[in-house]
Amino acid sequence: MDKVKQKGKNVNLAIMLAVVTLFQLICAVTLISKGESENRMRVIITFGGYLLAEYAYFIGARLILGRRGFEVELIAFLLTGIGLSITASVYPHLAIKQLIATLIGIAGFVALQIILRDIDLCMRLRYPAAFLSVGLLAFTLIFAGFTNGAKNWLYIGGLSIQPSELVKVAFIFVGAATLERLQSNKSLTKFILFALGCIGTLFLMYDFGTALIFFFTFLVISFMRSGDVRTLILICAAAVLGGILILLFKPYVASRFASFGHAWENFDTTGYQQTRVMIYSASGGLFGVGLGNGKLRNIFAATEDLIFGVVCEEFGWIMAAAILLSYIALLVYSIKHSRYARSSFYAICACAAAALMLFQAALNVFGVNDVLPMTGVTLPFVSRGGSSIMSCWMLLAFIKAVDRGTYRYGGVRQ
Amino acid sequence: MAEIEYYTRYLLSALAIAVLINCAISLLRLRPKKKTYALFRDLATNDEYEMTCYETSIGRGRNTDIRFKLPSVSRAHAVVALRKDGFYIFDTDSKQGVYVNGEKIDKKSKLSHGDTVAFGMEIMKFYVASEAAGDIKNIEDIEPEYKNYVLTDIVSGNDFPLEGDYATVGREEGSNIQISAPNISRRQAIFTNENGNWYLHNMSKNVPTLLNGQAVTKPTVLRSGDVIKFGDFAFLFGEEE
Repeated sequence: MDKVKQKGKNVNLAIMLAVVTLFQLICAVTLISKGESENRMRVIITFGGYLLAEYAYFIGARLILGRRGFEVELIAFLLTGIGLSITASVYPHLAIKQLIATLIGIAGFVALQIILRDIDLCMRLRYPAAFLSVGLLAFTLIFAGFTNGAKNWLYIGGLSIQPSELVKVAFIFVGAATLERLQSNKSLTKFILFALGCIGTLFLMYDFGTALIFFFTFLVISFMRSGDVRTLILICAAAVLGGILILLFKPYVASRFASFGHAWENFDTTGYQQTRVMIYSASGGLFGVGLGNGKLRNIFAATEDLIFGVVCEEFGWIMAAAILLSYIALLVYSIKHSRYARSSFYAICACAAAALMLFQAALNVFGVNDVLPMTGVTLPFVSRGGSSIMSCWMLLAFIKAVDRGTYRYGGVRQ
Repeated sequence: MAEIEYYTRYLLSALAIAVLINCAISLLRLRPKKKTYALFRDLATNDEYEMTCYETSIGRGRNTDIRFKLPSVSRAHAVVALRKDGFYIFDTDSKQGVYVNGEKIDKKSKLSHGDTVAFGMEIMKFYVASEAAGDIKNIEDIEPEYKNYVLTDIVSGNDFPLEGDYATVGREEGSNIQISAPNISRRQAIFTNENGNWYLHNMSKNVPTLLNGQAVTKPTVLRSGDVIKFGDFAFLFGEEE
């Protein structure tokens, strides 16, 4: 048996879990004290269900599987809790729906960890995953209608899903499953075709933010697979050229970003959301105005695209900075541990997933503050949205896999 | 009530920061301890290459973990991976292929302690670290015992015993069989011992190594009575009497 020895100490799970629980209980009590009777029950169900899932996961992982390190999950549970609190505060009637999506995401996180244990199984699943991903995006392109300027939502019965969020998981899975052709430039051809299919479809759907995230993830995976900077420079040059051509021949694409850098000049029109985010974020100060006391909550997409502004306003800048630090910590952790991972598959998966989250967070934060064009992407774990939260939890399984302690043996089912 | 709520925001910030900062610091500090799982020993130079990762890439490229700057080695030649049931070697589309104990592998092959692995002109001996110690301390204890064979110079009748894991032939000083002649390469050939069977590997690009009149292009097992020629020098391979 390969006992994992490490330098540095894991956090004390009991103490940290108690702190996380206390945080969530205070949020729940604050919302209950402010809410109407109907909403109080919703808050109780939401936080009750969430705490149950949280404890079930930690007890199962610690006592049954004997795991030790839980930093990654603690961060995810805390961030998801902050998102749930804001959702329950702004849209109490959507809180239970968000909880259900979170629970599905946590189940997906556990299921993906089980699948990732067996590298041979992962290698076999990569082609079905690739075809399913491209098929799902093509289906969305054909059958989805325009929602907020993009064709990225599917409505099935009373449910709405954003397939591109789930394809993010498959994109990393397919891109990283390449053991037989590791470090070989020749191995990139199929992945380039797959990435071209995904990114091209997203572009046709006018989902430019997600397309940009996929492209960035593609660069990370390609670099980790081949280590060839020249190929990546060529790909970037081709992408820039393609982007310029699209802007020249399809001017309406450029119009989507017309207000970028001019938010204050378009205070009440195209720069409405950005200017409000900046005003209300600034008013939050170091410790915020308190949960449920903000003004940004009344602006459209407050719990999705603008949630970073709501966090700044209601929870304060210090907490907002700590949230950003946690994305950076996840990436640094993945990079550091990739050297010691049980397989290059896990190393590529973890670095790609953590880089994707950080890049997405940067697009969200800089977008709402008018530093970058606003692309409508979510803040990982915090923003409201079922597909988004499910995909974030599943991506977390990739980060978890890089830790040697997660699987005792080198990627083989025991 | 309003006053309680006012102070609650400080408490919430403190709690969230306690968790996020503690977890972030722990994530940044955590690092598995370095451990050697196996090593390759270069039969020509005796250099050792430790494998401290679960997967070790081998090739001529800058991004490989073990790098050989030889034209016969592809940029990404092979990957050695540790799995539950032991070590495996994967040929990552190399031009010259990967040979394990003289046999060319098809995509992947299991590796065992003491196997000889050839990547182009690089010939290595593979050693697994002792599972209990987690290092290479016990390699000598678990070395198998070999029969001794001998190379006999057909002209002079001099015997050159082949002992241990391998023997090198060439003009270079320090070769087990040193032939100081201009038409012999510095590193002409290597004999390797695989569980009692001796293999012949040609190491020279310019001077062919002939086995029973045929040029040796890949590791080839030797039989008693085989005639080996390096340039103008001919040897007979046989058991030591």
